[in-house]
Amino acid sequence: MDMVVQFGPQHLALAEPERFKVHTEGEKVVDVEVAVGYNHRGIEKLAERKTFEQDILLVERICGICSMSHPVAFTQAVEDIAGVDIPERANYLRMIIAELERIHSHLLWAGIAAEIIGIETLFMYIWKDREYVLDQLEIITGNRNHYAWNTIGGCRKDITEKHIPPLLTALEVVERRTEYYIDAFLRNRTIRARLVGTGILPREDARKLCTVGPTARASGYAVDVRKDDPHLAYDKVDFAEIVLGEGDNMARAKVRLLEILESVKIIRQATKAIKGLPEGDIAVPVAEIPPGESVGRYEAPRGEVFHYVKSNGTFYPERVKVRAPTYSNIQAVPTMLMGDTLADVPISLASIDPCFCCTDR
Amino acid sequence: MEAEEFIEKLKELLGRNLLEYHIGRRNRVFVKVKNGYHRDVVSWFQEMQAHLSVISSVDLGDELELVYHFEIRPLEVGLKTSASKAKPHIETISDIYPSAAWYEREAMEMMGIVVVNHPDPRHLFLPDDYTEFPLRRY
Amino acid sequence: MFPYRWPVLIRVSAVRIGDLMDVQPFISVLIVPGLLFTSVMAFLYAGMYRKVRARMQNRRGPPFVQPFYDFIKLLSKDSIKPEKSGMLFTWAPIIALASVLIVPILFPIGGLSFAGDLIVVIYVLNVSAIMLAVGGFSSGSPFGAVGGSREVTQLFAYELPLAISMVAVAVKASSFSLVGIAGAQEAGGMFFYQLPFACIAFLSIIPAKIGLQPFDIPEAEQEILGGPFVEYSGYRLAIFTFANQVKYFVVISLAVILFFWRNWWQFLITGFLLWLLFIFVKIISARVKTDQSFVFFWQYMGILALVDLVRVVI
Repeated sequence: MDMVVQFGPQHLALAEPERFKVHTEGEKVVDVEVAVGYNHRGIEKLAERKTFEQDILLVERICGICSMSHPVAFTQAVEDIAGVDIPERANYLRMIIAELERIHSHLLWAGIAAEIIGIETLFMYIWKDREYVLDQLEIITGNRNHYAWNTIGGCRKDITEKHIPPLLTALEVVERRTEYYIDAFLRNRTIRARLVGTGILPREDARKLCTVGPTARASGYAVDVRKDDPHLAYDKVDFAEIVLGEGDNMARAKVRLLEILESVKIIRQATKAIKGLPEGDIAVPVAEIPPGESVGRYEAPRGEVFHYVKSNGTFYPERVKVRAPTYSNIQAVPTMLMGDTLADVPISLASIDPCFCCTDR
Repeated sequence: MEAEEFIEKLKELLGRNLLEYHIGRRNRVFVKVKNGYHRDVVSWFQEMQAHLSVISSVDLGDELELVYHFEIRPLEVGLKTSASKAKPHIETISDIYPSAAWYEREAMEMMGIVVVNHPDPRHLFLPDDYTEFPLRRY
Repeated sequence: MFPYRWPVLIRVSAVRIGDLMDVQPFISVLIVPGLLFTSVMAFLYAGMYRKVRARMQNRRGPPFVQPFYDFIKLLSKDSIKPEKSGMLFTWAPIIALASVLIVPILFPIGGLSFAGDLIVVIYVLNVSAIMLAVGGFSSGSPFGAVGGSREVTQLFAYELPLAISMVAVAVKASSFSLVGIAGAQEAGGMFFYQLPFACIAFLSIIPAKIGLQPFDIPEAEQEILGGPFVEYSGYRLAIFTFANQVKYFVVISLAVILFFWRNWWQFLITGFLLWLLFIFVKIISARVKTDQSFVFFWQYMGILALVDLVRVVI
């Protein structure tokens, strides 16, 4: 029985609207048509009408949970054009908030994946533990998402001595609970029945399609901007790049959960390192941006965020090009879905951790 | 490879068709090649297993430019090529890098560049009946 | 009015009616264990389900009577009928409810049991499941159609162990009626330890029959937007949901009667305990796929039930 099942634009499995037309024969998927553009807001055009400082606020709002990704990539590009080096403490501060965002984003994803395969109890538990991280973010930055942490030349706020102990306590809880969740994902038989062997993306396809982030690393294609293009303070801390080979949904889940543990390690090292740096030295003033162009790359929880900024010497940028990781990863979706059953489509779609508002901008 | 070495190799490959280059901070390199010769460069990149990040489109006034962003560890290369606004034809690289197809679709609809031999030149983000080119600077 | 006259009047009327006809069937059908009792138990089971699930998920959960409130509220809402749907769109939930309400009338707690009523039970439970599929197919939506086809596939899957284990019980009790099976257990002890494999097989198909994880494939909310339920709203959805909730009570009670019967109050308690067990299993499981459930039911549970049938026959 040939059928066309349309996933989206409104669908319970997708948090954001895109259209996936899945052609099936019986329950087996034979073709997938992807149509994007439901979230297009013209951010790039808008960015040309606003000053560089206003653009930081603008790109932060491209997405709700990628809210350190875009500002950091953007400010890095602009700081490169201006030729400034931001203080070391600012790099560590940005890195701490970035890794906290990675933890809460991966926990969010794990909860959503559990809910999609039907085990909503795990979803409730994971999101409750995510609240500890969000509480810490709110205490430090003032908001659960959209931290407004960056400015051109550094950070806007500092992490002081009194912030650090509650942060480390919360991280201990998160680390323990994450180990429990890794155990749950790897040993629960019904979860394994759904995740193992479905949505396979072979390594060659991952490389040819230039996928990024956990999607690529789970298939054995080792790209990680934190290691390849050291920015912020990633070259000064010690952490592992998680690369697995199977490329199925379970591998992508494992990569994300293990990355949470690595992020906890990074934050611990970073909080130790900033104790030695003078408090308050968090930004350098940047008077004007000379003409030039540069590229800012950042490893968001979903993959590589890429900003290309070109300035013409005025207060307004000449061109801002934003590329979110899902823009690359969504092109790998047809390969993942082909040959699987209809029941695997929602979880395979969710396993690239899609952020369609970032894709469409 | 290092930035200077990369530029030397590129000069060998292209000769006069390498129009200009600029080595920036933190291993960012921008090179501009003449229209029509970018495919040779991209093929050479593919042999080196470069990673295509995105293709940007820029409005330079009388010309429309495409910037192909590649990562050739440890460099971050921006390969530029441009064509005049009157006849903005640039050849596709989607046979070498399949993911380039979507980036070129976006460049076509946003900037009005005509990508020659593109397998699927439909609109990507904009509505199908949209005729303007939003990112052009009028 | 003169209050001392009323008892006289009522007593007179009751005697009158009782003289004219047998009141017992009306009580059985309408009150216990018929419509009233079943409705109360269905809402109670559904309320327990939501509350226990919530508490296990670190939430507070709705009050126990919430399913009743939901039912009343749904009746007041618009019931939109899709253009592409047929007449069966309205009749599928009604037939599902009617068929599943027949089963409690046959329960051995004051019901109207008769010889061979086990076959009727199997039949009407199947009708109820098929009506779920029919509702899905008649919705005119591809999600409904996929849900309907999944329900039919799953019906094929669990019908085998279900039928075999029920026949094993009937042969052991030498009777195909619920009252007979209950009587055999009152005399000879509960069947669950005498026919353990059939018991395991029957209990394993319960999640599939009533739509709970790990076998709630047809109603997969996140995958096919609720499957057969996707286009239902208003009073049609109220009836369909109520039919499902009655099914919770009916199927669990059937399990108790077939394998765990002692007497009527033990029946209620065991019913609640069994229901708690299934809620717990649902909470800790993800949802398996159709082909995996097929393998599970045909290969493993089918063989298990067959073992007991052979043991009992020989």
